Amino acid sequence: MTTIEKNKMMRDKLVNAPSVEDAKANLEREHTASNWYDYGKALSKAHRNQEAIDVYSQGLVEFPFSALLYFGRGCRYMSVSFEQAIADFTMAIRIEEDVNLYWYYRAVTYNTHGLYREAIADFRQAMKYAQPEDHYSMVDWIFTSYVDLGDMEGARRALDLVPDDLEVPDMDWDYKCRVRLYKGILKPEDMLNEDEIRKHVPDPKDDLLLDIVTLRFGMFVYYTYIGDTQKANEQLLAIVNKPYEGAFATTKARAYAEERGLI
Amino acid sequence: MNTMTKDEYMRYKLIMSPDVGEVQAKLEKTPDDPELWYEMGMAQSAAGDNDAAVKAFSKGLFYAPFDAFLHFGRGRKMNSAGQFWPAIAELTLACRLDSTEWTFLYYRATSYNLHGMYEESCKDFRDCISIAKVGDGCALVHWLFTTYLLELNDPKRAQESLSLIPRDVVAPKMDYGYERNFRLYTGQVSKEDFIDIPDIEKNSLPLPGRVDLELVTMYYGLFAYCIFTGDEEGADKALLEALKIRIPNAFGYMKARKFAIQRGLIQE
Repeated sequence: MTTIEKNKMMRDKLVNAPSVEDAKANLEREHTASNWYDYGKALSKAHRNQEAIDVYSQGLVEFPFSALLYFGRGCRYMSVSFEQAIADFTMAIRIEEDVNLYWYYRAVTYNTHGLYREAIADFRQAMKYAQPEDHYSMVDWIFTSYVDLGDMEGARRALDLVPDDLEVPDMDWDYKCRVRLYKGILKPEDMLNEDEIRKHVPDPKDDLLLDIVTLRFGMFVYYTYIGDTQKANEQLLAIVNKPYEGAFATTKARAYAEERGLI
Repeated sequence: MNTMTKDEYMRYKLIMSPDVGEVQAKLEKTPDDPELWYEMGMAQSAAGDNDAAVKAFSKGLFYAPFDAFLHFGRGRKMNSAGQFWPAIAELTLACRLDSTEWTFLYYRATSYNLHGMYEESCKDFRDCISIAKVGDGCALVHWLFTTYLLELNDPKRAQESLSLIPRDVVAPKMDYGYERNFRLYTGQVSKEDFIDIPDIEKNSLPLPGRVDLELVTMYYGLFAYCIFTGDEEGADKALLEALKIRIPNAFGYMKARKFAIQRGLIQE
């Protein structure tokens, strides 16, 4: 399988999980690392986190060098153990270096634990193995990480890593909007246009809440970047008052709001 | 390491008990040294903090993801922290990274055993015998004998397991209790002469609490032997003796407690 095919397959696996029953039946029919992964993913989508960790681990007993299973388990550890998440993503990367999602998720984990330089290095690695139309999310995170560091010049330079307007997969539409906001192409007041969101996001979660929260966090980063603390804080409060649980934007907004004494 | 044999190195890694503060000071100078993170895992473990130990071993894996000892250490502590499947996955990987190290397989076998997966456990113990030195076989045969007999109700396979190592095997000092048990099971020592405190003091490892640890192992072995020979009263007595020595983390104690509850000798 080529790097491009592999990354496409990984993206599909990440987005589409079968039902718990179907995944279990598939696994019973055939024990493969891929079927173990799908079963763990199905359990995690059903909010059965601990069972998912156990399933990925059982898969690893059978396939101890499966990067896919370390990746799946690492995703589950992200919310419970920073060290175990990083160890699992590192294993996945060392076994299969050319899968951008493995780098991407380790980078996100670093970022959400305040290790911004490590995060930036990993997002850059993720970009190496991703197609250009997938770069918006990575550039967004690199930009955000520089803003987290207070390095606005680094943030500005990061925007040159991606063109102004490429066709992107639906799941990255919010990220593209955020990058275009940072670049000054979009205005903040145009960011939360619900008709526009519905046009680009065919399967919105929780009546657009996930997209709204994601876009609002981008607005918080933008206002921080241009030095407008009051408007930045308004975005944080809007997110924490109507959060989408499990979204990175919610996790980060809550941490910032606490740090700033807003909640 | 250079001057140690593989077995000596294993033992050194297994029983090290460093001080958290001292290792922390070293890590401040070289935070990317996986060996030091292994030491930190062992130090946290000695301090009784399993979660901190798992975190320390995991941090070592940031720098050396294929280090068998870090996976081994992490697997042991995950087990203590009640994370059974992650523990088994770690121990499996350690075994795959160094398939000549029977100790990794031994810990997987005991983990399976304590989780009630007896056939998997016995398979691992038998595989251990094929790669361990003969002298290390006493512990392995003790586990096989007791598991076949007491957990799988299979006295025939229990009996057969006794012929997997030579009768005149000599175990290392740290396996004193297991060697005594093997001699009891094979009729080389009588039930009456089995518990001999001066002999334990003389021939076991000279470490604090060691005599008690050997005694727990031996009373559990005596329980198994009594069951094997149909002495139900003797079996009950042996269990109660094992439980008088309160070492809750000792395998012999855990097993004795389980059977004492099962036999109505104590309440859960």
